[in-house]
Amino acid sequence: MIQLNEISKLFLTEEIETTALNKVNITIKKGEFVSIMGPSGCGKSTLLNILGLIDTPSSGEYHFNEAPVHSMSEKQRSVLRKMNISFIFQSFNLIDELSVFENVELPLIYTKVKASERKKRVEEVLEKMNMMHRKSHFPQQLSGGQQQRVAIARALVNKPALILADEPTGNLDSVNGEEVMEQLTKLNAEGTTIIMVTHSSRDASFSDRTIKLLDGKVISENQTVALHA
Amino acid sequence: MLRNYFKTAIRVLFRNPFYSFVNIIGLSLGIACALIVWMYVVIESTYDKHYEGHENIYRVTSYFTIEDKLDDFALTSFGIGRLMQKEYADIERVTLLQEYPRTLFKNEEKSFYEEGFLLADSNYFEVFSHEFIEGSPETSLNRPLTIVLTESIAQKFFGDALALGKNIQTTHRTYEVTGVIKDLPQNTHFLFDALITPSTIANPTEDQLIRSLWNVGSFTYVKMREGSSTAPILDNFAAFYDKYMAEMGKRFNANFEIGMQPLADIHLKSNLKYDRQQGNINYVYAFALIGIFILVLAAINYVNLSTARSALRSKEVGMRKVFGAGRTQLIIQYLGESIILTFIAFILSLVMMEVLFELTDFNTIIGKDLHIAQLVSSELIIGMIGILLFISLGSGLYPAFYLSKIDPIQAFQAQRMNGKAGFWIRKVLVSAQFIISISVVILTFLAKSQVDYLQNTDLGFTRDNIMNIQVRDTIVYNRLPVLMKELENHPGIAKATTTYMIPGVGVGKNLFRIEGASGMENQTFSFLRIGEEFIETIGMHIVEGRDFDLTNHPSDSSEAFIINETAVREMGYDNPIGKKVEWGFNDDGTVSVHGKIVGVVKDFNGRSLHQNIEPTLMTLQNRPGGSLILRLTGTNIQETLAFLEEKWGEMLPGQIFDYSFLDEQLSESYASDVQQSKLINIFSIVCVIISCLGLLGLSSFTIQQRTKEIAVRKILGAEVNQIMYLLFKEILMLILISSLIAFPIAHLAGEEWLKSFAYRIDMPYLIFGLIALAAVALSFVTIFYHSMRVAVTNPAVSLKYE
Repeated sequence: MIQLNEISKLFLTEEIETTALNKVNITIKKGEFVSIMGPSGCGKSTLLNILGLIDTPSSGEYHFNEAPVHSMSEKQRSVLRKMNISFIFQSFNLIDELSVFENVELPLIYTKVKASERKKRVEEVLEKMNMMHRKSHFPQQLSGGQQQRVAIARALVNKPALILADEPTGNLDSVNGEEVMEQLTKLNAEGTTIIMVTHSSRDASFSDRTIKLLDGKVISENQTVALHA
Repeated sequence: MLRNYFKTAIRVLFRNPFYSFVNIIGLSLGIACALIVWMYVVIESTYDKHYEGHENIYRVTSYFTIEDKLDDFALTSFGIGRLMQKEYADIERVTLLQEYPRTLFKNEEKSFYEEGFLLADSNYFEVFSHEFIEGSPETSLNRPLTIVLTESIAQKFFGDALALGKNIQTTHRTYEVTGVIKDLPQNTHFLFDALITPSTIANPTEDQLIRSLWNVGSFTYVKMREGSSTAPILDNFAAFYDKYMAEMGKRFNANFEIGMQPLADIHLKSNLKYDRQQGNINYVYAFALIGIFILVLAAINYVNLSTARSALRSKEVGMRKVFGAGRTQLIIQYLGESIILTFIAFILSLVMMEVLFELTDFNTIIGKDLHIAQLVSSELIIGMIGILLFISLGSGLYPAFYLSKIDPIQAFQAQRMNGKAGFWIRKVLVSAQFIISISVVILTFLAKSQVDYLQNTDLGFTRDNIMNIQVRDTIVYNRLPVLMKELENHPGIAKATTTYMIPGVGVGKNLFRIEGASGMENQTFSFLRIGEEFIETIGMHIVEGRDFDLTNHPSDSSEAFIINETAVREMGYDNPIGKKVEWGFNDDGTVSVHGKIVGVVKDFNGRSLHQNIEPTLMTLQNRPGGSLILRLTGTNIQETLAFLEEKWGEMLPGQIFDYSFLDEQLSESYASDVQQSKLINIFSIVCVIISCLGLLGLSSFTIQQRTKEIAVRKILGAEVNQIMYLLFKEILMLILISSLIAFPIAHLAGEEWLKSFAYRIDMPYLIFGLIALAAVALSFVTIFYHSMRVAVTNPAVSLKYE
């Protein structure tokens, strides 16, 4: 599904040039649940952004479902992203001015799904995330765990082929974190490919494979050993 | 402590150059405009207050009622002042002024056409105080044929040499300079360049004074005794009327009353026939209002930007509070910041004003002579301090209270606040800006359309390519028939004729006895003495009867009258031709001219379009003078002018060729309207600029606040245009709501203004819509840069920024 060849990303500031990613080669198959780990500043989030088509590499090739993303225009990438990829963020990134229902509905509006269909799908996914009773609430009125469940619902509503999660439990307590990880595992079991950036070995243990980064390079790729029951 | 506050204030300014720029430029424009408006309003409202004892000086005005129709005049008879002085002990002094026509004046070396001279009597300087440079009030104007010059006219004729005792001549008379006075300030309702005494100082008998009472021609000013009031005179005027005027009044079924206008009220409050070009108090109110609006707009910008940016400063507030700052200290600190900012803006506004006054045509456009130095006068200093206090306190108080209120715990969670507090207040304030700007711009367009209408509307005669050459000399007048024949041979000249009076330029008013339904009736008519063929030359249309025709009807020279359609309607005529007209009243009530109506012309505007068309009567001129009127074909005007000048010099050697075009002369009636419209125009542009600056600053801030949201939306699939729409939607709503509020305001204000015109445009509702659309477009352009920048930013970058 995903093929990265020699992907590099340089950040230029006024004084220094930072290599966030250095000739990274990664292959991810459809239906996999992959964790990316590494210390702060090793390039995890940059890699995730490039995988999610919200950032572009400085060099290298990226094939998504065999399509050459590296030679696509911004618009083409945007369409590809809209149709296939969803995100879950550490800080949830819900829009404060919109209700739970409206937040979840947003991706469907941008993919021009009809209103009746939108309502059906949003309710379906909120039901699934057990958030239906909070659909009229605003993000500030929810707990962190609930906010992340809404963010997951938003990520799911478009039935994406790939979910990218950036430290999805980073802002949650252990109970809520556990719950989120279970949801992700369940989604993966239903066929969604998941790539997750995490600091937590426990979270990583939910995935099939862990890729470790250091200073922008892949230093190891291991099958994960389950730490949880 | 103060040093710390000052340092912080300056650093805040430099740390956010964009916001500081928007704030300072907005405030400077606001202050500059408010100061200019204040200067204008002070000048307009201090007319004639420089005359010593102006509180005791009044202008006498005339109100004639003839056959139940009221006519008001700024002019009076020449006799009324003296008779009033005789009757009322409270009147201390009386002086008369009369307009003096444009005349060629010369001394040994120089000659100039002068039109700013007035005829005055020997009492003038006993009523009006002037500073003398040469001569003295006692020895000036105290005998016939003397002249008192203003400084600049003395300079023009005599250079730096002494003018006193020297002569200035017209064709027939020689005037001796008996005084030179300082130039008049611009704020006087009867501005003049020189005062001259007539060739004979009239010492009329009481009988002559009484006989003059029904004929107006002079401006009468009286100086009342200190502490006296005009009320007893006005209340008891009936006794004066009975004594001097009732007998004649009965004969014409007429009545007469006087008015007494305080000198300082004349400029703004008088609107009588034969008033000189006046100010308009409504314009003064309008300007004062616009000045306040502009200040409010500028203050709103400051409040909006300060409160919106409060989140960025909340940590500072929190820290200061944690380390012991009280609320009062914080209020003082933030108020201090707004005072510093206002002061910087004030300095910049002075620079802007200096550039505007000295390097642009601004003073010409507004018809005033404004200079920065005038700000030092007492009224202006008070206003200036008021404006600065209003800006610094008005705009600083709310942010100061708002910022100082922030709870330290809340303050440390800056991003939770996101500048959302005060969100609604900002929306209301931005809407207020839109309401003000949209209303002002609509009114600007309205004023412009009305002024265009005044200048272009069909007056019932041609105003284009009509040339008016003043004839003030009998020699010239006698040679005109030959000259006119010569001129008409030129292909550039379609028609040549003479006339004594020209509609729109000089129309008289007279009492006639005219044949009505129940016999002969006394009626006042607007009255024009014109030349033969004038009607045809100027493009008026005869709709009934015939034009004047001396060849076939020699008696037309004095016995033929042509009236306008309004006169036909007022008289209720079915067939006006042949109706009798009499005039030229003798003292015994008999008349010297018996004539009849020979024709009717289509209605035309004989006065300004501020007034309705009046019933008008025209007869042939029976005296020399007036104007030579030429209708040019309009092709090759330069060549025609050169020919005219050459022919004039050839046939009338020594006579200056002095011409004007009718359209320009007519425009002068609306000069004040044009001027005011231009001034409103300038102010409305400033309103729009200040509002745009505010919108620019605020939108850049709110967009910055929404960076995260925009990034999330982009990640979820939003296109650039969808993001742009999202950002603009709110402003669009504000503009729509503001327009709905601004429309009725503009409508009411516009209707009120248009009421002062007898001829006016319909309310241009289309313009309302177009201006709202323009506001939408301009707002879009204003926020486009910031919106576009954030809309195309890579969301990964935006989220990292968060």
